[in-house]
Order: sequence, then C-alpha cells, then structure tokens
Amino acid sequence: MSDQRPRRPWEPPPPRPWGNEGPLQPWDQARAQVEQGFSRFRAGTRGLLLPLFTWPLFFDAIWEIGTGDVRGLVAAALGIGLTVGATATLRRGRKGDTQRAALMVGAASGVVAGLGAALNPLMAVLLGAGGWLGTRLLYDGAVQEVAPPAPPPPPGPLDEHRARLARIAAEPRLAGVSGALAGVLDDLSARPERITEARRFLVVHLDGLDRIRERLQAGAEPPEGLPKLLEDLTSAADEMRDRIRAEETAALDIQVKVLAERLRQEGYA
Amino acid sequence: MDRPASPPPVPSRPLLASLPWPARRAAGIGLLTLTLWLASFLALVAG
Repeated sequence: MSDQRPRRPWEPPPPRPWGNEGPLQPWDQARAQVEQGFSRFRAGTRGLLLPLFTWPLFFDAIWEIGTGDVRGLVAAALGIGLTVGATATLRRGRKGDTQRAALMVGAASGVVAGLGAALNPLMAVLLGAGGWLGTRLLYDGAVQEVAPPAPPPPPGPLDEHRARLARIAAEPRLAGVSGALAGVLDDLSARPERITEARRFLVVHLDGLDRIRERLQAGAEPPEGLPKLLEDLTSAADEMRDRIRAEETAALDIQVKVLAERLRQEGYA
Repeated sequence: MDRPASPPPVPSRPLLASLPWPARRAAGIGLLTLTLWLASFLALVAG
C-alpha cells in the first residue's frame, strides 16, 4: 500500500490527528525548514546531473574538430544534444517526461558507444539500455509530474470586437455610444447567425470610434460636430438592434405560418 | 448486502520500486556512470 511507503525527505510530514496538533517543537521547525530547503534545491537542480556525465564528449568534440573526423563529431554532438534535451524535458516536469528523458539518455548512450567509441552494436545497445534504466532509477518518482496545461479556448467571433469596445468605453465621452454598441454585441451573441451580416457595421463603427478615442486621449479638443456624430452612431446602433429583432420576428412569423399550415394539412387543426 | 468474495486485486509494485529511494538514486548514478560516462570516455579515448 502506498501509505506504508517511507516518507521521502522532501515530502511534507503528514498532518497530525485533528485536535492534537499542538505547537511545533523547535526541532520540528528546524527539520521542516531543512526539508523545504532540500525540496526546493532538488526541484531547482532536477536533471542538471545528466550533462555532467558527458564531460568527456566536450573534449572529444574539440579533438574531432581538430582531426576532422566527422563521424566522431556527429556522435559527440548527438550525445551532448540528446542529454541536454533530456535535461530540459526532465525540468519541464510534465506527465511522461521522465520516460521521454530516459529514452533520450538511452539513445545518447547508444549513439556515443556505437558511433563515437566504435564498440560493437550489441555493446552499444546494452549501454543504451543501461542509460535508460539509470535515468529511470535516478528520476522516477523524484517529483510529481503534472499534466500539460489545457490550451486556452479558441477566441469567439465577437471577442475582438468586445476588446475594442472595452477600450472605447474607457473614454468617458464615448460612454453613451459604447453602451449602444454593447447592446448590439449582446444581441449578436444571442443570435450568432446574424454576425456575418453585422460584421461590416461593427468594423466601420468600432474603427471610427477607436480613432476618435485615440485623438481624445491624446488631448484633442472635441470638435462641434462630435456630439451630433455620436448621436448618429448611437441611433444607428439602436436601428441595427431593431433590425435584428425585426428579422427575428419575421422569421418567427414564417415559422408560425408554416407550422399552422402543416397542422392544417395533417388534419390536426 | 452481498459482499465480494475476495478483495480487489492490488496492482503489484515493480521490484525496483520496492527499493528504498536512496538505493535507487545510488543505483541510477552508478548505472549512468557505467553507461553514459563510460561511453563518452571511450569515445574520447577512441577519438
């Protein structure tokens, strides 16, 4: 049973029974601090031991460059690259990353043994398997792996318009018209099939208002015609809402007529 | 109420997982020294 497993130094101590917590003794506090420090150290240095095993490859790579041995250089580069990749994978700490890192270290060991050290293929495979097993032994269960974060939801068709409208609404002189446009967006999100026909309207209005907001925030004095223009934009937005509603009403009217006709034809009415 | 005749099977732990963690870590370091380090060293010597 997993409860019987001895507690590892970096794991927090189990909670004491309810009502029996009592104050922590100085010794317990010191021990908890040491354990937390060790846990942080181990998490922070996770995987960094692996590249240290490949230190001869750095000198080997320099030597191979000097002698012009491409095969040896490729082996050294693969050995270093795969090990560094395994370290990065281990440090990412997602589910299955320890297994992936172990496979990479196994591949690095095999390639370096077979290609760089020119051992026979059986020995290369054995050393590769040993590298895999060694990494599993060293890192399995050392930290809790987490599942990769869920991707963010795809943006909705009106999200960009809403973001622009939020910027416009931040300017107090445009509060009235931005309220009217927010009503249009609310209506459209309730009836997504109308978004296509309203897209041009939204782009023109939000573009214009965004530019006006930029100028106003840059310190421009509002011209005389601005209140009239904002009034026109507000009434256009109200008209758009009325039109959407009227189209919905017309669609419902047609549905009612069709259903009534069908009921009549079937003899139910 | 019916009781199951036998408790549900507990998945057996791998042999290596039953080793205490310091032994596993030490074995891991030893094995990596024997494989990854040894292969690198032999590559250096062969080069």
